[in-house]
Amino acid sequence: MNRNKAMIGIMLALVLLPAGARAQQEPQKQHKGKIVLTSITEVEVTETNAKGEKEMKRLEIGKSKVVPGNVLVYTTTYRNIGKQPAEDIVITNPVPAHMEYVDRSAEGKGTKIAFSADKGKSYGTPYELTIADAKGKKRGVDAKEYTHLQWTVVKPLPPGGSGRVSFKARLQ
Amino acid sequence: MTTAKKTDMNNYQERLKRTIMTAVLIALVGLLTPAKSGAMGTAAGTLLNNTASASYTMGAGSYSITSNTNTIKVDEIVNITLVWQDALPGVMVTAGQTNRVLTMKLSNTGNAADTYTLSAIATRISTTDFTPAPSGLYLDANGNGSYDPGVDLPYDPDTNVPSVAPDQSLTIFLMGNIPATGLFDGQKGNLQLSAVSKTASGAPHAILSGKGPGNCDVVVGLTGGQASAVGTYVDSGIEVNVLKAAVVANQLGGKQPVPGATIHYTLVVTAGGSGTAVDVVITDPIPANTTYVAGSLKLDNAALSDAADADAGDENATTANTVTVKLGNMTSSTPARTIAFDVKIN
Repeated sequence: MNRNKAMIGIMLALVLLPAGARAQQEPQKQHKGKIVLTSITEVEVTETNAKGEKEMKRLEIGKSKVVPGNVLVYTTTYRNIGKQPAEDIVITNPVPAHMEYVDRSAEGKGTKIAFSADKGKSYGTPYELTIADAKGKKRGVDAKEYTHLQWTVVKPLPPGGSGRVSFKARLQ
Repeated sequence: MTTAKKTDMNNYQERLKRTIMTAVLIALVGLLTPAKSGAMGTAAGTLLNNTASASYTMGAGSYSITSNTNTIKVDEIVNITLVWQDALPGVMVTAGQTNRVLTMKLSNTGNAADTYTLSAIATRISTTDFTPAPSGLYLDANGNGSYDPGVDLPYDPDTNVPSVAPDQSLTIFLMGNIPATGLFDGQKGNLQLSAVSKTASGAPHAILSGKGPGNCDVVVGLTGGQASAVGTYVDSGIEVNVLKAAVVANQLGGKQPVPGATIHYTLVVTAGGSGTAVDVVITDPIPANTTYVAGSLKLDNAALSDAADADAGDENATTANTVTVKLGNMTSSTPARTIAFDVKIN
């Protein structure tokens, strides 16, 4: 079975560039900070426990089938492995193709969460988002129509600090 | 020279009984369900990819990074439904009929194409039911929901099995022979059709590793990969009667049937007994040695065109040298229908 390809994130090597450094500045895109971003996916299943009650459990991909109707939980962990605080952290995750965002499932302690229904061009809260129909008339957006999620970390992340954001989506 | 005689009338009624008892299916058309993407599920074998990205500032610099990519393969789930399509209480039959069709709709409600094994048996729901004998299984090759002999070919477990794409349906015609004797009016008889997925069947949630598209796993869904449906025949005690009369008028103003004389035929059709005679069709061959008078065909005093068209009857179109009139369904309370036409003695 080669369904589960949840690999641990690769450490991104980088050079810390202090302000006012006399060293030659390399082009911006070659500079990488010291945040590690790791993505894992789990399947949410409902099981009946020993007491006969229904429980929700999260299973690693390899331990459960994935068929239409199943709910997957996407979790992204961010960790500061640098020597300076990281600020203005914004994490973006598209809702994968064939999947529908599960309403109210987005989580992220210490973040403000926004959604996009136009493939990431604009973000807003559920109450702010609108879609224009064929005649240009605006209407509210259903959670199933979200295309992207975005978490903005409110406070600077100190060196060694980490956080986690997640959301659920249902396979169509 | 031909005249209308009482023996002709008896032969006529016999022929009519046989014709009328060929009831047409009341088949709710098993339309092929249009394929909507994702309506019944993302296709098995599809890869779902997810990558997160982030931007941040550290010191004086701005950075952006992406996470690892998670790839998941969608597994196959096997589910099927089978639904009997004919209108209740069932298909009207009479004793001794053969190859009466029960229409069934097989639907693939899983997320990958599947093929199926079919089987049919008689089944008794009430102790008073009669026992039909399964006589044939045909697949609706042209997808029009009705059995077309020669076009819709018989099921064969090796060479002609139902093959249905996900979110699609196939109509299956199950035929049965009705016992020749011992039936009472309103008595029912049933045939049960069963379909089993050839990919996977059995206990729900069972998994067949790597047997699906792209080597994904196959999971048996809640239907267990199998389904069955029962179709019912109802013995109908209806009888259709035709009273045929002939009036001769010759060109001399008399009643002798000489060459050139006109015979005016009337057929009064009624139904007696219980139940419904379905799609009654009256056929009457033009007698030898006479010629049909063009344009003389009438139903209940309204003219019918001779050509086969939208009206109820024709002459020499549906069948050569024959008057054919469709009367639809008739019960004992249907008012008598009168067919009239003229022929000229050659």
